Amino acid sequence: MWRLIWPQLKYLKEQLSHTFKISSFTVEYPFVVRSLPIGARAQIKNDFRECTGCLKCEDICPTKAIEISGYEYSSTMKRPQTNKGIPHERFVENFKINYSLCVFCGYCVEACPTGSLTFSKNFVKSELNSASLIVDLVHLPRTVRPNLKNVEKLV
Amino acid sequence: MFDITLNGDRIQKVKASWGQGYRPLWRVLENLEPHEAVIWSDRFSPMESIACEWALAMAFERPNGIEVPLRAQYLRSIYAEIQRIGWAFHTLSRVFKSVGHEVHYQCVMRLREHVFELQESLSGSRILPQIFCIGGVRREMSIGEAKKIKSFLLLLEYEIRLHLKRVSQDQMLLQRLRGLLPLTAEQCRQMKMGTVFSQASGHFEDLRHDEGYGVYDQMEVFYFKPKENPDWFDVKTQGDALARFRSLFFQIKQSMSLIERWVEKLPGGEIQASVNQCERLSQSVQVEGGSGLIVAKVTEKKIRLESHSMRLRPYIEHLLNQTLIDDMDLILAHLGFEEEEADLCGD
Repeated sequence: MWRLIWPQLKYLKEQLSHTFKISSFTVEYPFVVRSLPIGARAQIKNDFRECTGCLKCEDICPTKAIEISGYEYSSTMKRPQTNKGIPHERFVENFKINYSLCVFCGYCVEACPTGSLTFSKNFVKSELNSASLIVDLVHLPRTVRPNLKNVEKLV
Repeated sequence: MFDITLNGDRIQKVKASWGQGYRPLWRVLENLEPHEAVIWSDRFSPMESIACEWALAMAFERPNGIEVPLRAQYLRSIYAEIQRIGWAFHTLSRVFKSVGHEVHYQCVMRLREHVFELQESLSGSRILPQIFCIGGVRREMSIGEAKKIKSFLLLLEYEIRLHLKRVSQDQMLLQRLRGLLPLTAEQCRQMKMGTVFSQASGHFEDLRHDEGYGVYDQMEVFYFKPKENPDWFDVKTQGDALARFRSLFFQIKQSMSLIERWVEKLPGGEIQASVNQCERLSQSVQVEGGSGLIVAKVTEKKIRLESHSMRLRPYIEHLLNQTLIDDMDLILAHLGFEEEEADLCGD
């Protein structure tokens, strides 16, 4: 009799220990979002106070997913500067990224000389049509632009 | 994907036709510069992306006479072995799934996620690391990351021990795998199958040792002996699914041992060689992936990658004839076959 009951008891003990001791391995996405490690390649963000408009990110992109438009400051006028005192080259009007083309290689972030272009912690991007995958970083909410009060005259 | 003609439940005729039909990668690669082509090559085989990147990087480096620094060689080898563990877990999960063992399948998938998480923290991406560049690696490994690898190995050691205990006592699973799809050493040689398959068939051939790329020549790869359960890893030469299953566990333990030693001995120095000019010169390079050889062929006009799955295509068509439709997944899983792989061998 005991030989029959003993395996069942052992099984029951194991099941109960799993129920009470081990926490859940899965995450209730999207209510709980996992945090990305430092340096994880996700969507990019740009600090326009630090961005000089050098277009190096646009040039190096292997898939031509970045499209920047703007106008150059003339050499005679006082231009806005980054925190390290590097003068801006051009005023960036649009900074468009096409996430349907982007391969998240990170070359643009590596090429940025001032470190204004960085990876954000946001890795979710799903849209109903491909046109919505083109994001203009200039027109995102909470985007801070360079202070143009000191610029005397724009060309 | 497969075009299948059925006769009842049995497969009468199979035609394998897979790959990216509308925008093939080989067409994209032809228009890219060498340093761009290397980061694109990982899409060819997401489970063996490091081997793909390494093969293509070497195919550019060797004819151009670029010498990779020693630290970069160590880092390349560490990344490659981490991905080999990931591939082994992926293959194990497919084996468990194909024999209907859901509990082991879930356990192995969880372990595979741990490997992906480590890979993400080291390279920045879970599946497509894009960590190689011409003449070295793109990202430095910090002391904290080296510690992270060590703690990961400790965790994996514990988990593997637990898992091995469960699996080795599961007689029903072992009976199912015994005698299933035996492959001879000659077949493995013909199909250029990797270490897992060749070892299970008694034909021990490892390109990592023979070719001596990376830092594999500096380590005694073949003299690794697991301390625990040595009988379990005594694969012998059956060549069946059970032997391959044991061989997979052996490979995981071997990779863990190699990573541990390399992280300890990681030298200082540069991680990238200064590359002045890199031209497309004709070269063919082979690198040992998890499933088999990854072959990169570069000419002035073309860049081609070739993998285990592509070489298996005629054998798969032959093997699947007259089998039951339910056994198809079983056969594919036991041969380490990835039907999702992109086809880069277009003419």
